[in-house]
Amino acid sequence: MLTPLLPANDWRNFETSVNDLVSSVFGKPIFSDRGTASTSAAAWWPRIDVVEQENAYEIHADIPGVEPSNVKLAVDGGKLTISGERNSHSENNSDRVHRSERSYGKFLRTFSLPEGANPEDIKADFKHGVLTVNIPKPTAAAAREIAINVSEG
Amino acid sequence: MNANCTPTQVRRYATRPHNQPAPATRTYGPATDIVENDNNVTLILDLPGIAPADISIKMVEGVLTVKARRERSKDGENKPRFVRHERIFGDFERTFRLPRTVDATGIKARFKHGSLHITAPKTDQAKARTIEIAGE
Repeated sequence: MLTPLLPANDWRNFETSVNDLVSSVFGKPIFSDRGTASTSAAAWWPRIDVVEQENAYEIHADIPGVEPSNVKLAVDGGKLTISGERNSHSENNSDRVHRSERSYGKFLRTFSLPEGANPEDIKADFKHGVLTVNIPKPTAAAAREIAINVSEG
Repeated sequence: MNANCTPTQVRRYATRPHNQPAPATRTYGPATDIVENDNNVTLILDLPGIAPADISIKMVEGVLTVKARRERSKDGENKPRFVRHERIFGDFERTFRLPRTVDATGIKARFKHGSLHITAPKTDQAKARTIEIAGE
């Protein structure tokens, strides 16, 4: 019998504290993971990139082996959440597992949306195990000159 | 981890742990699961964001090698600014020494949603079977 280095719970606590640390070091950028959100039932956190393009932000999440129907994207109160579940590699209990490096179970990542972002404009697609979310930047109000009313007398 | 599985058996399958670079070059080993059932040994490798055409699988003298390259897409003239940068790009390579109990000619691979599934059938001699006791 192989003894794991740490019980599963300790690994979870470790990841949670790393997420908290990241949040506290970087403060609150436009996009930030909510460290507190990861104390939920999530078993793993997919690796993500957040890229700022000229007109949009893009989130790329590596979620290989996840059925598209098991991925959920939600916007609520200025927060965008990518969540879902990766099913176990073996359906059969009699299977012998020689190596298990891939994470499975529920996953979750949460981001703060830039101020003024319209949830209706957010687009997502899934290809080769990568979820790409496109968030158009809110268009700045057109610059204009404001006339000054002058009262005399 | 299965209780029947000894560390020696595990080491027999994989020659390099995942996420450790190969010597001299910056190469990553994709995370891998290895599962054995009555008929097959199945390897599942996570290779997200890679087109199947960019993955090569070779079997030479009982050693299975999977190689892949993942390139960052360069879209647009403007250099994108990374707000967060966690994903791994570059060369991926991993080798596995398969047991003699699998039939090298029957190995099949399929790629689905960023995971590569390689199935190696066991030889008939290696399959578990029940032996009936002849009556008197």
